[in-house]
Amino acid sequence: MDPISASLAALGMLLQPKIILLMLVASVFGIFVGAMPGLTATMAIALLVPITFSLEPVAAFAVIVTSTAMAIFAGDIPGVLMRIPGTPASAAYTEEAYAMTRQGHGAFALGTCVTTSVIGGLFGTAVLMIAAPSIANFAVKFSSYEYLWLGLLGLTASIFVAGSSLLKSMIAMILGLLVGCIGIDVAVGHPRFTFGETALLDGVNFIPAMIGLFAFTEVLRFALKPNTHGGETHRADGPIFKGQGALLLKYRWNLLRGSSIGTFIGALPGAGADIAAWVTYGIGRRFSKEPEKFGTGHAEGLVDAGAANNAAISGAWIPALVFGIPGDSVTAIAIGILYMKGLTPSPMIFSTQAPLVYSIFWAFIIANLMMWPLAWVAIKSSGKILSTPRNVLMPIIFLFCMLGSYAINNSFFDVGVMLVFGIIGFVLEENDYPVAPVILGLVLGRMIEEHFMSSMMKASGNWLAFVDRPIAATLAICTLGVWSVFIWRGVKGLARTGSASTALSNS
Amino acid sequence: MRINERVLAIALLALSAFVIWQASSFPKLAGMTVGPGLFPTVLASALAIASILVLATSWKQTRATPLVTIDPDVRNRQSIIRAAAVFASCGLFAAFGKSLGFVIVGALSLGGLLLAFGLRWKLAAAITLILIITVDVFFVRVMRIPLPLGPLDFLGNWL
Repeated sequence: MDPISASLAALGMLLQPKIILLMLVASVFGIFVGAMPGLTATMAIALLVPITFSLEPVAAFAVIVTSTAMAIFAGDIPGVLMRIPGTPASAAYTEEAYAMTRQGHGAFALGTCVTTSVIGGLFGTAVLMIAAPSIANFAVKFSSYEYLWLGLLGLTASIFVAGSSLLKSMIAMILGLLVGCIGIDVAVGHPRFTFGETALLDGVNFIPAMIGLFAFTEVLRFALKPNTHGGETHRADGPIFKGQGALLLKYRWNLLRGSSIGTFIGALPGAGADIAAWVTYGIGRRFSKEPEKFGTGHAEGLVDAGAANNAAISGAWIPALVFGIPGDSVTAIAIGILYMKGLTPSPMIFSTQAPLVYSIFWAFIIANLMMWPLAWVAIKSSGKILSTPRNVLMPIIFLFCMLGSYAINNSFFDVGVMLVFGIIGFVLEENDYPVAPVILGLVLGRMIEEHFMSSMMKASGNWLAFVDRPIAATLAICTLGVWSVFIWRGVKGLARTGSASTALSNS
Repeated sequence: MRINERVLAIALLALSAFVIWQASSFPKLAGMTVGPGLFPTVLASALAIASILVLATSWKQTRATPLVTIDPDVRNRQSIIRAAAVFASCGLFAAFGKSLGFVIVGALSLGGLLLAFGLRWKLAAAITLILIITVDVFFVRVMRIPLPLGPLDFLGNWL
């Protein structure tokens, strides 16, 4: 099927009353979760997984795409009105936006957040629509060697962008990869680390693990510290969209820069909307003509990062669809859903499942266009949303965590998996180990092992075979180059620790 | 709840040793040197190296740090009760969900959590009743995901 026919077929599949209604419901859900401090977009998607069971793939992905886009925008609402980011993706410019609110420009700040989110989201979608099929055409030639290096490069990139200590990110990722080893192995079908538990023969179910890592940890954290998200709530009075055109025209280059960098960062494995926002906020200040105004309620501070975080969520789908390598935590879940629906993310998906792929592109466009009116309603009713008592909400969320974990396989064992991963995630986060690399390791573990084993067998002991092909060699150079930087920084860190210790013992 | 870096690193080192020991017993492919144990062994070796590096970097710095440091904000009765309720609710759901069914176990888990989170019992009971019935109908009727009924099996036609 040629791209235009596939695209039109996809649009036809998407513009069904049932799917549009589902997208509207998903929007309301996404806005609500995103606007509640402490609830993330990833958590929203993890809780939606059981709902997607009964849906056709097109409807399932439309729901996921819409909820994510809305949640990332809605995270700005409590950031602007309460100085508490609703999701981590809004944290970078919360101070800036709240400063505008204190000056009486809260509604205008929210208008800027919506407009930049829509433009950033549409830009990211355009890049996804152009880049993903082109990369897929190129990637058809890949053999197990290229996939192995690509997987390793993806994992390595995720360690570097996790925003934590490199060593701790690496440990978290290896833990995820080790969990991926549980179950029957890909080479000879030998059960590994199952300890006689038949429920583990197919491996650890990825969705309960994800719910545990991202949702259980939040509920437990709230149980221990319920007052973390308190604070005064301002009202968003005044016109929301008036004056946005002039602002965006003035900062058009910021908008373009934020959208481009956001899409690129989103496409990096493990780096999502939050990192995109931090990086672009920093770049925005660095290249601003008025850097001294940043942090004092300067609208320019919202443009780069506001566009970047929504652009990143589309960018994250590029490696997810083409290689099965998630660009962020949400696409990690989406890959899990693709597998559950019997679909394998690979370059071939663009020819075998073209209408489905194009329906994801269209879902992004429709979701971003729906954002304008829905965001207006959300901003106007923000007082009601933000006053939802969290001591009622959290137990309800927890019920859905347990139910969602059970419903994947109708197995109460998976509720236990959720609990175990929740505890692991809590301990890791409390000790500054990031949890996103765990998920990436878990998702990519099987794919990397499969290509590793098949490359080892093909190479028959000849290690040069791993870098014999030009693309494999290029990817190997990139991967080994990043590893060298990693080792160099590690050695430098050790040397610094050694000299500090010597100084301490001498004093 | 912060755990001493050294203790965590030693635990991770022990985990790597366990994985390598287990993987050494996995069979190899006929006529080949590779097998199901190779990949876990490579990973566990990398984990061991990373753990040793954490141990090396934190050895001097954390000598005076206690094994576990608990945040003063959570050292109160309410926090402990709420956290215990989260674990109890999950344990109850996982252990008795099949035998007692979703309606009973879900109601006990949710109701218990709402009470532990400070709601008055009348409000907690009302929310629990409405939500459990709605969720059950939604999952079973709309999404066609069967939820166990347990002793309420005789109500199968209505729920």
